Amino acid sequence: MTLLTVQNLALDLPLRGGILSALNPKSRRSLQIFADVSFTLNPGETLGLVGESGSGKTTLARAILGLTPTTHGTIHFDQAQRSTPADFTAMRATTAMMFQDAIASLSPRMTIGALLAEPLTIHGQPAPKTKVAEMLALVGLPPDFANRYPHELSGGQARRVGVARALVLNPKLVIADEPTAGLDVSVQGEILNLMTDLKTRLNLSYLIISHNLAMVRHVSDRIAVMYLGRLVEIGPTRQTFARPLHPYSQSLIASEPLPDPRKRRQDLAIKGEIPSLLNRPKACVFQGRCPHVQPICRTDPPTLREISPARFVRCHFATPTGALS
Amino acid sequence: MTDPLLEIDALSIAYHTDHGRLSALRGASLIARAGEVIGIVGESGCGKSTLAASVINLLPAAAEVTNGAVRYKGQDILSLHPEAQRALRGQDIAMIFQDPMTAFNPVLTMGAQLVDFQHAAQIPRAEKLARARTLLARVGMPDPDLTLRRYPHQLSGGMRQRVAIAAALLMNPTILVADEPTTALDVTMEAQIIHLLRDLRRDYQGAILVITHHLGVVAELCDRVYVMYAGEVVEEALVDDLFHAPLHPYTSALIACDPGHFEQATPILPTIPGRLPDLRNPPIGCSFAPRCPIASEICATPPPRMQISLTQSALCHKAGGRP
Repeated sequence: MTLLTVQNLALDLPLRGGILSALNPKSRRSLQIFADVSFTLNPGETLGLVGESGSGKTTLARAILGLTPTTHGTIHFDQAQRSTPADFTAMRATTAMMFQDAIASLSPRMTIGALLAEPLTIHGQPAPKTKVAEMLALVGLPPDFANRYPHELSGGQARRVGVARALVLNPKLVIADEPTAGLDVSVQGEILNLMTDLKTRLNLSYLIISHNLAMVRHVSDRIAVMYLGRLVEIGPTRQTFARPLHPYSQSLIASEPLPDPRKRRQDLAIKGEIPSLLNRPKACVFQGRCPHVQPICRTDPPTLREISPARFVRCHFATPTGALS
Repeated sequence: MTDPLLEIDALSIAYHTDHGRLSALRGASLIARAGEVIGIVGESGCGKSTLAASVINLLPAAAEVTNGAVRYKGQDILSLHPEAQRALRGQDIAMIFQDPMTAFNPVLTMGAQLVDFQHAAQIPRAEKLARARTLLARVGMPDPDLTLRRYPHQLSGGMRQRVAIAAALLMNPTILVADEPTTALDVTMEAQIIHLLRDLRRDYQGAILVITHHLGVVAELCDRVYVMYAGEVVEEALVDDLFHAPLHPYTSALIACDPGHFEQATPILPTIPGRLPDLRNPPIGCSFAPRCPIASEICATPPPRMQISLTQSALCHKAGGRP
C-alpha cells in the first residue's frame, strides 16, 4: 500500500511572447519544467531526491503538495486522487513542507509559539499552549523558546523550529527541501538524527530534496536522481551508490569531493553544465554531456524502465551491472 | 625552504558591536610560501573570513587589530598607508569571492569590467582586452570573445566563477585568496572549479589560500591546512596528516562529522555536542574543552602549542598523547 503515487506528472509554463504570439495562439511557446515524473513512496519510507540547481526538484515538491499547478499527470495520496484545490487543502492537513531557508521561512514578526500554533489555526484545529510546549520538547528546544522571535535563533535552532512546525499537524508525509543547507557539519548531523528519530517514533514518510549526495545517502531508503526535469534513475540507496546505472548518476557520484587526500579525483567525471530549460535537448536530456552518447540518444527519448528489481533507469544503454552497452 | 610570501603573526582582531567587544581572531599565525595551496578550514564563527579579510586588509570599520602583524614579503601591510595598501590589493594580492552572482557589476559587460580591473597597468586598452581574453581561455571559457561581450546575468554560476578566477589572475598576483570558491556551486561544477584551481597552480608561481568549511574541498585541493576554532588556529598540518593523523580533538571531531567520510550508510550521524564559546568573553583555558571528549582539569588552563613535527602542531594540552 503506497502513501504517495505520482504518475506521469508534467509541468509546462507558458512563455510570455510579444504581440505576434498574442495574435496567433499557435505560436505561443511554453517552457517545460518537468515531465514524465512517476514514482511512489511507501509509509515510513524516506525517498531522497537529488539533482543540480535547475533540475526541477523544488518545483516538483511544490507540485506534489498542490502549491504549483501541473499540466499533466496524477497524484494519489493516502488512497485518494488529489486534483482540485480543495483536495490539496485537505491533503496539506496531513502533509508538511520544510522550506529551504529555515530562518526566512519563519515570519519575523511572530513569536516561535505563534508560528507553531499557526498551522493548527489554518486548518481549524484547536491550538492550546500545551501543544506548543509539546512540539518544542519534541524537537529538543526549551519551553521558553515559545516567546522568542526568529532572529534570535541560530541556524540549527531555526531548523528545529522548522521540524516542529512541520510536525504539528501530525503529518504522514514531510517534504524537506534542503533540510541542512547552510548548516555546519557538526549541526547537520543533529538535525538529520532528529529527523530520523522522529520518523521512527511517528511513522513518518519523508521526501528529502537535496544536492548534497553524502547527506542524502545516510538518510534515504531509496534515491531518485533528477536531471533537467526528468527522473533519470530511481533505486535503493545502497545499490544506487554502489553501482549507479545512469551515466549522469555515475558522474554525479564520481564528482563529489571526498574527505581523503589519498582518494583525490584525478579526472573530471563530467564536463560542461546543465543546459538552460530554454535549450532543452530533444530525446535524451543528458545527451549533450554524456560520455557514452550514441546517435539514437539524439533521436529517441529513453523511457524510465525497470532493469533489475526495484531499479529504474532512463537510458538506452544502461545495464544491470552499471556498464553501458 | 624559501622565505614565506605571506606571514600572519599572532594576529588578534576584535569587532566593536552593540553587545560588546567580540574577539574574532585570537593570536592566529599562518605562513604561505610560493607554490603552496593553503587550506583554512573551520565552521561558522571560527574567524576564517576575518583572517582572509586581514590578508587583503578589507576589514570592516568596526574591526580593530589588537595585536600581531600581517607581513607580505617581509613588510607589515596593516601599518601601510591606505594608498600603498590599495596598490597591493589586486596587483599582488587578489581575492576570489564566495558568491559569483554578486562579484560583478550587473550593468557592465564582462569585457568592460575585466579591463577596468587592470586600471593600474600602464598599457593600452587593446592590450588589456587581449590579456582578459587570454585569461578567459586559460580558465576554460569556451568562447572568450563572446564572454567579453556578455553581461553577468547571461552567464551561469559556474561560468561566472571561472570569470571571477580569471579576473583575480589579471594582474598576476603573488597571493590568491579564495573565500569558499565552490560553496555556491553544484557538485559537478564544484569538481570542475577544483580541477581548474589545481591545474592553475602548476604554472602559477604564487601562493593560493583556500578558505572553506568543506573538508572534501580541502582534501582535493590543499597541500597544508590550518584548522580554526573560536578565533584560534587549533591545528596546522600537511593535508595527509590532517586527515590520517589529526592531533587536535576538534579536527578529529570535524572529520568524523562529515557524512562524506562514511562508505556505508549509518543510522546515527556523529555530531559535536555543545556550542561555540561566547567570543565577547572568551575562555581563559582551551576554548574547545567544554565540547571535548578527552578534556580534563588541565584544560581549564591556556593550552600550549604542541609541535610534534616540523609541519604539524596543535593548540592542545593533550596533543601527541600527553595524559
